[in-house]
Amino acid sequence: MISTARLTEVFVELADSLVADFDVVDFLQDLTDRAAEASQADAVGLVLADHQGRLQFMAASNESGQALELFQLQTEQGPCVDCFRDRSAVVNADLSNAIELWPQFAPQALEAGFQSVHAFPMRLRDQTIGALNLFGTRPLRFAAAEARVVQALADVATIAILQQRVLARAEALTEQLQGALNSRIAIEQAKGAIAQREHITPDEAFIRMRARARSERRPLLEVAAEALGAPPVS
Amino acid sequence: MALLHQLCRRAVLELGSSGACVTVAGSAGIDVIAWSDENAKALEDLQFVLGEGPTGDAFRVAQPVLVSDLAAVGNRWLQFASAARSRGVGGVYSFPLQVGAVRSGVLTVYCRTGESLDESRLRECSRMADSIRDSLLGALDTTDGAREISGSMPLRTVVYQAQGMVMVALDVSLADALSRLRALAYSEGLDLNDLAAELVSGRRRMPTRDQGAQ
Repeated sequence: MISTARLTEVFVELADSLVADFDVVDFLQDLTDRAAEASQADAVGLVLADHQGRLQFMAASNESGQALELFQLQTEQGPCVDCFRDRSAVVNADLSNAIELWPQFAPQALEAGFQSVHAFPMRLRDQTIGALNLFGTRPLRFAAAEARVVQALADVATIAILQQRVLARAEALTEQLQGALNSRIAIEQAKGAIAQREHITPDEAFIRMRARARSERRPLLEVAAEALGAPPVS
Repeated sequence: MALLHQLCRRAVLELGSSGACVTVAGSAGIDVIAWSDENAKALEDLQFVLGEGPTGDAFRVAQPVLVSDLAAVGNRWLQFASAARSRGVGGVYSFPLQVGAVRSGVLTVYCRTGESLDESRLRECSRMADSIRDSLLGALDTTDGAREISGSMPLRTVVYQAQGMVMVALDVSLADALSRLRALAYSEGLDLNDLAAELVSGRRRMPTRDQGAQ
């Protein structure tokens, strides 16, 4: 297990990446790298559930990690599958004793040179969004304190992802509202602009806008925007 | 939006305030989406008419703007403070409806002269703002939600039409056209809405370039 000093730096680095320009894939890649460093695991993989609840591969510290995750998802068995389904950690699992539990995954992982595996749920209160997997080519045993450190890394990542989703949703919905509102406003402004330009009333201007939109097969909003951007008649 | 209107009325009851409004930001400034009563709505409209006030500030700075006594705001919002006070308003509290850096709108609560919100009511107000934010986002998160909600908002159509007319008549930007309208209304002691109605109906001629120029 890494030193406390380095661990503190790792948490600060993770927190720092949450600030601006958050890219979830980059973030998760960093997380798997940090988890590998912190735990000295030989491969780390991370899976997240999509909006239909199906696990998808997101990141790994190396190709072995990626291969192990993909194989679990393909065969629908393995430590991360169990961890996600049961919402609880799989700690200190010895692959040579897990052949009955994971009849396809365990032999494959053993053949690839791995001996031990751990899986930590990515969970916040009643939401489990994925799992973080650690693999060792030698027996990699975690004491309770070490398992807590890795779980803490997973927890930080979970909070970040959930928060980012909340922000993204709020942003998208707010933009939709503003877009719809601004369209209504632009149409009123355009009625005035056209009324002034063509010496008619705003109601008549609206009739002309609609006729123009119909005959030119263009959206009304486009006709309005054009009226607002066009140079005025002096 | 019936739910937001209810939440505004509840804010008034639970906070012992005199009015509450929820606004959202459009391209031309703040627009009212829900209100507890007509007086509150008129106060919010006053902020738009005068182009100043705590609601707009709260949205811009993404922080609550809390005023317990409009008589003590110094040079801030000179016109709005005086007009609101003459209508019996003593305190104004504007809370942005936001998640992180994403601002969706503002909740503004009005109090009568001599009344104000204490610490615990301010905290309650902040919680209500979050709850209103969530209700608004929830209502938007439906098929056609944005179009229905924006469609139900009262829109100051006459002012926007006048804005378009002045933009063409004076060959200025939309933003400048609105500024000119406000300045002209102020210099003649007219309500912006009334000035706009006169221009749109043709009862009044378009301003010339020097009228209302800053």
